[in-house]
Amino acid sequence: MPLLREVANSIRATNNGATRRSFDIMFDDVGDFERVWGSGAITPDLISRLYTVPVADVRIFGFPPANAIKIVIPRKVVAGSPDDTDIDGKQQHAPLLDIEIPDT
Amino acid sequence: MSVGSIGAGFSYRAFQQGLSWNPHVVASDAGTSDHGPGPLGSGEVSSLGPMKRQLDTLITGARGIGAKFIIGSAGVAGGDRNLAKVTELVTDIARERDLRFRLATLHTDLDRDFLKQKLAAGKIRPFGAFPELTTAAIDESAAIVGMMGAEPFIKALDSGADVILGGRATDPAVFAGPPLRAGIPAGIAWHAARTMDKGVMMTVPGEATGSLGFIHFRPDHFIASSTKEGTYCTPRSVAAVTLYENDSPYRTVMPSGVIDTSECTYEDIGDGRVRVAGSKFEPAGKYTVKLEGARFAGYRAITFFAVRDPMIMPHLTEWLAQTRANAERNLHLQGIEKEEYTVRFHVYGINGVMGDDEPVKQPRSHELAILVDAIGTTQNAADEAAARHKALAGHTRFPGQLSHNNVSEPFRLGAVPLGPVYDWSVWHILELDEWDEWEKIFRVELVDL
Repeated sequence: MPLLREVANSIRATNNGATRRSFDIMFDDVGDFERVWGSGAITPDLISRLYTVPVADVRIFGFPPANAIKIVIPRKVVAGSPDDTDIDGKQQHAPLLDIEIPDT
Repeated sequence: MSVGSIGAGFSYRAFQQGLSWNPHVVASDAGTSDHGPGPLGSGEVSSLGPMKRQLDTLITGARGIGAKFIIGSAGVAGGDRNLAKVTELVTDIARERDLRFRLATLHTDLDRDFLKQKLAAGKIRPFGAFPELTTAAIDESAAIVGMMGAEPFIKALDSGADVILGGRATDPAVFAGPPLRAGIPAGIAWHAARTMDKGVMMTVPGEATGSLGFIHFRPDHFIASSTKEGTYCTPRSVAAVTLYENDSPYRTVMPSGVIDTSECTYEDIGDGRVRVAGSKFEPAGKYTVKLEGARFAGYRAITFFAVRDPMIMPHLTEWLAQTRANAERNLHLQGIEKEEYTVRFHVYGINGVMGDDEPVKQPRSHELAILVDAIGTTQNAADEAAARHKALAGHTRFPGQLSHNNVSEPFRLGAVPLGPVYDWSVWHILELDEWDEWEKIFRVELVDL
């Protein structure tokens, strides 16, 4: 099964303000986007497990105008506080790279 | 025409190209909270030299064609102290270039008594996972700002301002004032503002080109283009901006309402231009203001060392705990007590980037980098805490140890003092009772230069 890292064109990890994280996964074309979006591989349940956040707090959007999937999760540590390890959240995407994309 | 954040740099030729298209406005969202609470708490602005050179180019260019020049979130944090430093740069530029213009500064530091009244009235709620606001948090804050919508910018334009330096503002608010004032429908004005608020981000191939985003307004749509030769806009590059740092790609919440892009069309009309239609704006019932406050949290000192001994790896957790205990005893002997400092080990090669979220539980590294991060009630306590934790790491033993010291460093590095540390103390939403209450909290100051 291909991995997300093999299908996506880019993944933009960042803060949405100090209390949320955001991952914008973009694809080269509508075919790749629909393949991943339609596969149902990226679910709130999976994201909840990868980042140990409550499933009810995970939001996932398909965004066809940009061939993109957006994931928003809460931050467990407020950005820029002494316990933060990545102030702008730029390198928190690694667990997404190995999501398996089943063929549909 | 939109420049990415001031200080990040832009292409001079792209700027000149944009000026040749005769924009009514040159604007920049000059701030962010992404740098953390430090800029707001300290009131400092870094890299004033490059900022002044860029402001010089932008203001001289904009005023040369009679365009308005507008920035928001001046000095990164947009607090009154940050804004004052940027205002001084602009005043100097006007004098040095013999420019004459009406300057508006928009002040967004909020009165503490006003906030306490609103808190008592139940009008302030946390924004995301953040503690409830308290009067203590208000009192402890070094500064508290509110984020403006477009209204104060419009008020400044109504007052004849040529150059507007805004305090803290939502990113699109910096750009939405002029089109709203010109009678462009709110949906188009706001969506265009949101599209251009990251400057070069709406263009391809992207950041490295230093291009500027350009918007032409039409009665029922807007057209996005890129000013640098060889760069362009695509339906995707334009649409993707609404994804960025936003809780929904279809809805962007502003103080005065919501930008709704759910039914938008993005059409390539050739020459690197994109036509965007279908943008809507839902006015809010109440005006809401995002609040940001920063509080002093101590003084920071850091140091760094590396470990290459393979025999330490299985014992790392216990070894670091023993190092901590030994260092605390050593500091106590010097009269520095545990209550005066906290120390964090960021272990790169294990979980330095992701902390407890790190999915790789079995380390694969043959060497580790350890950043020692100390926060003290005094700079001296922080310096000593950082230095002693590193020194004791060298001397704390682990089972099977053969070497005589565990600490490697590329050159002698003592504790590096980093000065005051700030923490977010306020990250909340304030709901105003009356729509025009924004006029009481956001002050427009005018001066003719």
